[in-house]
Amino acid sequence: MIVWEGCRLEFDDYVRLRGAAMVRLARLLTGDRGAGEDLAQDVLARAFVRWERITKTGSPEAYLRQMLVNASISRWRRLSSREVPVATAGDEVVVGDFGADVAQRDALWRVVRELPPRQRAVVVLRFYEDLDDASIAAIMHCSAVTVRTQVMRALTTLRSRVDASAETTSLRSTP
Amino acid sequence: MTNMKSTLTETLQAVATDEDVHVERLLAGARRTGVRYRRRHRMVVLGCTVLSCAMIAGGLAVVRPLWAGRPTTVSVAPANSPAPSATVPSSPAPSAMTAMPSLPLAPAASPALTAPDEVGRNPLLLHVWLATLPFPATNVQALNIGGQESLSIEGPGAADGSAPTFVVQAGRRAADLDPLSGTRHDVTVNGRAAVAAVNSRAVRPFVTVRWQPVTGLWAQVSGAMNQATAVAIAAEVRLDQVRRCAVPFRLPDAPANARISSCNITFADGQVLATVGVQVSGWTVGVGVMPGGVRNANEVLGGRPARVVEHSGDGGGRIMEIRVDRGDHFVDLTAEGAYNAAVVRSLAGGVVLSGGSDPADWPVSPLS
Repeated sequence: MIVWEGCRLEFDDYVRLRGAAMVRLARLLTGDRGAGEDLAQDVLARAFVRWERITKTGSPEAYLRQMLVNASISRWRRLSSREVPVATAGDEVVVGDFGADVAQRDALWRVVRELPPRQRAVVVLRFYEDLDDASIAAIMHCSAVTVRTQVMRALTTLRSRVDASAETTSLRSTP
Repeated sequence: MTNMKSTLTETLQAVATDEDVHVERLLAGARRTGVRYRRRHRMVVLGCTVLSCAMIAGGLAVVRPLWAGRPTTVSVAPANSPAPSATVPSSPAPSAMTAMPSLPLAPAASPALTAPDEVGRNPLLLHVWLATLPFPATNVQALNIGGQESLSIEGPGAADGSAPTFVVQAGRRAADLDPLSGTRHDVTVNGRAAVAAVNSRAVRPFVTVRWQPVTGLWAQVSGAMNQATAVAIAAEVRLDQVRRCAVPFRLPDAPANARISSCNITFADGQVLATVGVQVSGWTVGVGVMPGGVRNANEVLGGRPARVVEHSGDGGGRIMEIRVDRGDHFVDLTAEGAYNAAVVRSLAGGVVLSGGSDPADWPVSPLS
């Protein structure tokens, strides 16, 4: 009973302290607000079962981040091709309603959501979590060289698609 | 778009913080689901125990040593199993490995087959290995962390950006492994009863094969492949030898209470990269040696230029990153938790490179 109480308090404290950050990361990894919250909750539930062991690693944040990334990729594998996240009708970019920067960010986010899951995870870990190659490599179970390659590929894809999107928008708005 | 990287960071931050998170609702949901998982896990363990008893009672127990020799037969797959995966590359890429890389053996350590309790206990030992690679690999990674040992194998990327990849895991409990998902089939791995979970709803079928090589030890192969390929790979898993998860450096300035908590060794692009996690009371530090130099040095540690950065990680926890120039390589440290910055600096400056490019020459422990 003492262990149970200790485990419960420690887990609860952790979620109150870091839960919001986990959900924010999960939103980016899944590309979807609701799916991200579900994913973060599921990862925390699994962490709850093995919380004692996780705390023994000395770095629950790193452990849970890895669980979250793995779960986001596994989730993508489970989805049918019809369920691959794409921009919904509500996410349509309306140039002119907002500033050019906002429109640009909307367009970029839409393209980020279309990246393959591993590339998207690497992009999020690099540009949102601000992790270095070695840390990302440890999370993704790959080498730092692979991380750099994935980042390079993702940036190339993002540049080309965003530029193509901008050209299309420009053509559409031309009378 | 002129500054893609900064725009990307701004975009991700804007999306992530778009809406508040209800933490108490998250906590309640996680606890509720967690209790359900725990209950289900207990039922699975009970069910496995009953199944094992039934097999032994029914005379189905296999008494032949699993690793007595190279398997001559592979498991029985259902008749409707598809042919071996077409995604496996037919010719090796320039830097691909056609055989498993070499790691030094630890002859004094007990192998998993005779001492399953040892799996995952010492982060500097690897009890799981593969006899052969099923396809040329560009990346072979061995990992020992949190009581679980795993191998990740990745082949050259295909034109669509995907690459053949699978993971081998071993642990003392089934709960240590990734969960099974999809339709389950009974198969055998080297004569041992096994289960294959096939998730056909994925973009590419995802298969997990799990079995118990000996009582007290669980092994698993999973990846986007067909069932026959997964079972064939499982038959190549070796648990009869122990290898060292070695690193090419020593840490003479580590605190007295430091201990190794994880090890990660990666073979890729003709190089071997190894890192360890070091746990000190209240904080951890990951240490590795990477190819490359150090730019924008802002300190001198151990008489060498170093880049030292401290910042808040996800959720506000402190993170300290240090890179110390070692010529064509650099020592890379990342500390998290309630670390002592002076101790981390001392640790970084005092790293002693030991051994060359052959892991057999690397020290038994970076703390020795």
